[in-house]
Amino acid sequence: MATEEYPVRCEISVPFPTNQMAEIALNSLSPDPEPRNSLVTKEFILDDNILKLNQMAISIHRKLIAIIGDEDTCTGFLLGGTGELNAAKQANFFTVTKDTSTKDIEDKFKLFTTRNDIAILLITQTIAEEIRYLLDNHTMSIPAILEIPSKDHPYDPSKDSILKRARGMFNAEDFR
Amino acid sequence: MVTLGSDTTLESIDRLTLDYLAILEEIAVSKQQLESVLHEGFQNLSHTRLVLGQTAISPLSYNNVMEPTALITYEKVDDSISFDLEIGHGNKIVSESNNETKNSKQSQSSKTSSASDPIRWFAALPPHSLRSARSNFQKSLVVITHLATLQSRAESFRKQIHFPSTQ
Repeated sequence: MATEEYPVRCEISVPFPTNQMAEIALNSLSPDPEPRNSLVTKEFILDDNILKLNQMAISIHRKLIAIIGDEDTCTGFLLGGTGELNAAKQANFFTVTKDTSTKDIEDKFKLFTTRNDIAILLITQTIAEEIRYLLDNHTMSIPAILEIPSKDHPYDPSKDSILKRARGMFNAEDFR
Repeated sequence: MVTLGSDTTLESIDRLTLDYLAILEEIAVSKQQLESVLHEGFQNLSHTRLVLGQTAISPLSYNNVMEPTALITYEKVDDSISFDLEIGHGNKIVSESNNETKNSKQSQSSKTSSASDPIRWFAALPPHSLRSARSNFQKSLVVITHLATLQSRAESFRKQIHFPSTQ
């Protein structure tokens, strides 16, 4: 029963012995207003003794753009609308300052590349240099990793992992 | 090392190599584009700081609830992945498969409600430079989505050249 606005819907109906019990279940499951989530909307409907849950989404596969960058880079992209801070206080961006340790950056990289709701990971090239080996070993197609220039350092193509692989392809030996 | 095979195998490797190099060139051009639009965005952020102050444009101003308005959808196309960008609700900005800009059907709330528009975190009345910065970064997202698709295609060519399927 998809509508035009929400082409993806899932309806779960749970029958209870009495209307009163269904109402108790409804009140236990949704005591507070549902926090607005742009990806999936949830609503409960009480129909006599049946409790229905409707979950609606615009698309199953809308994913996030994550960022690992300095303050200005994160601020800029958040201004552009990429930022998500969900109910569990998990963010899809990580601000790196001069006090951030390489281990923290590594952990965030691993976290963002294993989350299943991130399609693209942006990382400033200077930070990418610190965890270069992790980027070189990342072969999964999702999330796509993009190295971006930072405010202070212009983009250097000789350091980019993707282009480095290309250079590794064409060895002088091959043409002998 | 290329072992002597049939002409068609060598031809297909040649073709793949040319395609690969062409894609790499497109990537280089897009990265230049990205750099210049980001540079403009950072400049606009700096101008905004002159107007609103140093702390206004910093992580101190971030909201503690954030909803993304820029989202990515992707699909598998041949051996690579094609990425699409959606800004707002249900308005497609870039469609890689057709290589043209198209607007899908507008949803009822096509404009981001002011409560969730990130520009409001920084200023109730955003100065012109802040609006320009926002549009720079939104434009950079279009380039980034295109780059992600190009990168995926480049990787697929590279793998095909490196590990050609035996026939």
